[in-house]
Order: sequence, then structure tokens, then C-alpha cells
Amino acid sequence: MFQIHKLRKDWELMPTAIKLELLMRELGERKEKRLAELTGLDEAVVVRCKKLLSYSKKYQDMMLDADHDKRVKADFFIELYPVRNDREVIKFRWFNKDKFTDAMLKKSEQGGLKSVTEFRVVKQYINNAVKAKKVVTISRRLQEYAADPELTADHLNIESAEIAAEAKKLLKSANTLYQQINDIEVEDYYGQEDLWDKLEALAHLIRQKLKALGRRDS
Amino acid sequence: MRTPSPRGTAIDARRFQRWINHFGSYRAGIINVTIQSWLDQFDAADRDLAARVLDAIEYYGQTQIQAAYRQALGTFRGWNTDPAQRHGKWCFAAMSGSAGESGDAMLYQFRLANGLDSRAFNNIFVSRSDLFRRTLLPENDPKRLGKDDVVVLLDDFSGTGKQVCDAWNDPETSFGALLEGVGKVYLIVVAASRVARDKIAEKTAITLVPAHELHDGDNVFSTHCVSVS
Repeated sequence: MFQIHKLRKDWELMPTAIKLELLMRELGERKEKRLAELTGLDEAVVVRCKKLLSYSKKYQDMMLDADHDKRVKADFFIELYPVRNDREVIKFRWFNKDKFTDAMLKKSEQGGLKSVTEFRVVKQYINNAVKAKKVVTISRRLQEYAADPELTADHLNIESAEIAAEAKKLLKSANTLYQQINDIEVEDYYGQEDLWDKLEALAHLIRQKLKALGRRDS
Repeated sequence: MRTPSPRGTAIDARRFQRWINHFGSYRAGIINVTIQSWLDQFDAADRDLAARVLDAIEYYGQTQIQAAYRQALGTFRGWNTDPAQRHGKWCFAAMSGSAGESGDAMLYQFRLANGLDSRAFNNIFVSRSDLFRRTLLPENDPKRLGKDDVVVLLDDFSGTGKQVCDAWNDPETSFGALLEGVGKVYLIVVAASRVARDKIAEKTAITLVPAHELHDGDNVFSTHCVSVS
């Protein structure tokens, strides 16, 4: 029988992913929730491991490089995943998952990528362009972005002025609300059920949005 | 370390030719201009020392690397090219380097050196991720690497042993945890320092097999080094 206890919590993602892959194969189970129950891992960790397993061995080996300077962090591949698997991007005629990944690795080495979280901005720009029906333009821009290691994510910014303004407005409101909630003396507002219900709903909604974004629970 | 020319020796065409002959097989191709531009990085007063550093470099070309790999494999008990004569299962993997980089090149050199480059041997040369997959297989899986089996890792050089020890103990790579059930783990390198060998022996279960061992006298930063100062 498979030795589930061997899946060690102190391991980082790639070694864990390898073990998880064997577990999935052995048990014929792929559902994240069930795998989380079986292994005792957080469901979000299972999701991240499965993302890493979607990459070819060449990339998996990069995460296991003995040389710390050559090793590529699992976060790079996890953050790249939504772009690499975007339902519109995969339809672009020029697009090839591994070639695009190689291009992003090169970009990262050559300073065209300040942080792996920039892939979230890339994804946002792609989403915005698709929503604005500018698929041809974003395809061309993304191809150029991949081909030139020094081009930054700003190159993909086609349709974001409105979104950026909205985000700025929302951020301002969020700051105000944050301050107001922070100032609440719980005992003074003890009986304000409507307020607490709304705050609970808000907290739930925020958690949902963050989960959809792929943010980890802290 | 090779013995450098005495201080003040002219940096002339003959000396350039000696360097070209020595480093000529380097993959990037070494020509006079390459050497001259390297020397030009230094102030005129330091060029004599820079030239003596070039004299002293022990360069291992492809021929020496292949000889080192042949010699190393020849020392292993239980290894045989014939799987039926082999003791346990054997797997070879590069310790470092991604596909298409030096790790693959090392494995390729190793296979060539030992006449293991035919397809028949493909299954014993594995990627790091596949190596770890095999140690984690269920006990009844015939491919599983266990206590009767041998893993041979390859690298080019170990100066302090730190990188190997870190990879063994670092949770990001977990070489130690992933290979703990394997009977014997060797690391073949072309050259290593004695410090590296001691450190690796102390902090990991890896047996380091260097074809050339470097001593304090080979370390230009050591007070024991008398050749370059």
C-alpha cells in the first residue's frame, strides 16, 4: 500500500509534488479536496503542487537543481501558470507553452521581470484586452513581450486606463473603510447586528476574491 | 595547480601560445584576443600576477574529464555494463544544470567516456525529478530504488562542499530526504578539495569520488599557496 505518511510537511513544493503525483496515480484520485484530506496538506498546497506537475520534467528539474544560484523557485512556475494556461492565450497560433516558459525564464534572468508576481499583471492585461475585444492586438503584444527579454509587462497595457482608475478609486475606498473598521471599539457596537452581518459578508467576499486571485491564506 | 613562470617573465607571443595550447579545447574557443582582453582588465602593475594566474590554472579539457569519469566508474564495486552482472539497480543523474545546460553535457560526457551512450542504457540515466520519483515508489514496485541500489550523481567541481551539503539538507531540494532509502549514493566530480570531501562526508550520506583532489597549496587564497602570491 502507498505510504501516505512519507509525504512530509517540511518538504518544499517540488519534492511534495513528486510524492503527490505518485499518490494520485496509486489511488486514482485527482480531486484536490480529497487529496488534501488524504495527505493532511492544505488544499491550496495541493493545487500548487498540481500546477507544478503540469510542467515538463525539464522545468521540474530546474526546481530541484543542487546549485542554489541556478535553481528556479517554484513560485515562478506557479505565478506563470495562469498566463501559460489562459484559455485565449493557448489559442494564439504562435503560442507554445514550453517556448513561452523558456522566454519568461530568459526575461527573468535578464531583468525584464522585476518579480514573479508581475505575471498577475500580465494576466490582468490579457483579461482586459480580451474583454475589450482586442485579442489580435494582445496576441501580437504578448508575442513581442516574449521575444524581447527586456520588454516589461507595461508593453501589454492596452485597455487598462479605465481599470486603473477604477482600481485607484476602490483602493481609496478600501483605505477609508479599513481605517473606520480599525477604529471600531467592539464593545461600543456590540448590539449592531446589521453591521456585524455586513462585515462578515464583506470578509467572506474578500476571501473569495483573494482565493480566485490565487492569493495564499496568511 | 601548475607551476607559474617566475615573476617578471615577459608576456610575449611564446607565452600566449602556451596559454592557447593549454586552454584551446575550451568550448568557447580561446584565441589571443580573448586572453588579451582578459589581461586588459587589470592595471599594468597587476598584469604580471594575472599572467601567472593564467600559467597556474589547471584546466581539465574534454579528454581529462572523460578519463576522470572512466576512472571513477571503474572504482565502483557492483557495477557492470551487463545488467545481469550488476549488483542492485543503478541510476545516474546530474546534480546540477538544467536540460541543455552543463548537467546534460556532463551526463553525455560520462556516457561517452564509459561506452554507455547507446539506447540500451537510457533507462539508467535519469532526470533529477525522475530519480526522486523512483525513490518514492511503493516498495513492491520493481523500479523503486531501495537499500540494495546505487545512485550516482555527477557534477564538475566541488570547492567547499557547501553546495552539495545545502542541496542535501535544504527542504527546497531535499536530496537527503529523497535519497535516504537508497543503499549507496556517490557523487563523481572531476575535481574537489579535501575540505569539500571532509564536509560532504560529515554532513551528508554521499560518498564523494573526485578524480583529482585539490589541496591547500592549490587555493590561491590560502597561506599554503606558494606558487601565486
